[in-house]
Amino acid sequence: MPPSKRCAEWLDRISLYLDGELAEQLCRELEQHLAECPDCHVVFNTTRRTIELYRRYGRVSMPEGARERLFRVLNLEDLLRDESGAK
Amino acid sequence: MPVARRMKGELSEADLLDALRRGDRQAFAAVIDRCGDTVYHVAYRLLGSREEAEDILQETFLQAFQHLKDFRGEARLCTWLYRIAYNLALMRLRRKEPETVSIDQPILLENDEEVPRELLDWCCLPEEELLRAELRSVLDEAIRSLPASLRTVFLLRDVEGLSTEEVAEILGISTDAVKTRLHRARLQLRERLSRYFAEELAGR
Ligand SMILES: [Zn+2]
Repeated sequence: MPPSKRCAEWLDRISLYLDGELAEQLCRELEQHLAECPDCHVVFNTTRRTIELYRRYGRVSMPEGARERLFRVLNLEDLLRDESGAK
Repeated sequence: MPVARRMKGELSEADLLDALRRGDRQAFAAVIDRCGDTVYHVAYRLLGSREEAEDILQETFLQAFQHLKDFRGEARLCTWLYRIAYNLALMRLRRKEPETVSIDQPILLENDEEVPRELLDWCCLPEEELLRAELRSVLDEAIRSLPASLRTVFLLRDVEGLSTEEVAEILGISTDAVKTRLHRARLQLRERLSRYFAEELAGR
């Protein structure tokens, strides 16, 4: 069952709400709707959880090897030696 | 006395920039450690390969350090580097897949992916439960399936935690466009994860 038009309008605002950018009055109305509408409630909860999961597990860092090769490309490899000496 | 380790989080932006302009090599190392991970992340998520991400990482810092005089200090130094990285990665992506990259064009307004269909409430499953389900590869797969224009906004805003203004600056789009794309990216990812968890739980 597709969500009603009214639901679609509320769902359009959940990102602003999550980012603290929704006007105070609309926040309260959205909270009211979420309390009354199980479908929107699920979408809201799982959207928030999606963001949390990516925040925690979605990062990618340069691998140590890539960092070392970058230092070499930039002729900074002697600084890598300083680092390992300092440890 | 070498200042590399001390320089890393503490030095103010202005001092770091002064040191760079004096050609202080410790400062170059400090910039790599301050901005390098995100540079790599942007390139990796756009291009999907570690080798290519590393190429872009090197090109970005080579280009930035050669053109330091062009940096006007209006944005943060890292923001400037991310912008260079993004543009380099995008150029390469266009060479690789000219037909699929329509990053600057307005994206279709209606997208089925953004009408929530899967309404399983998996939000409160315990973390171990989610992790057992090969979470990382599921997250990777889902973000890879986003259009490039949404993917970059999502990773910079939600994963890297940059501000809307910073992301707008890096991508050269308006803050409103950042907000719209972020919302669409979140809904699409939510849909994909929900579908995954629904199947996962049904299969037990
Ligand atoms: Zn609703």
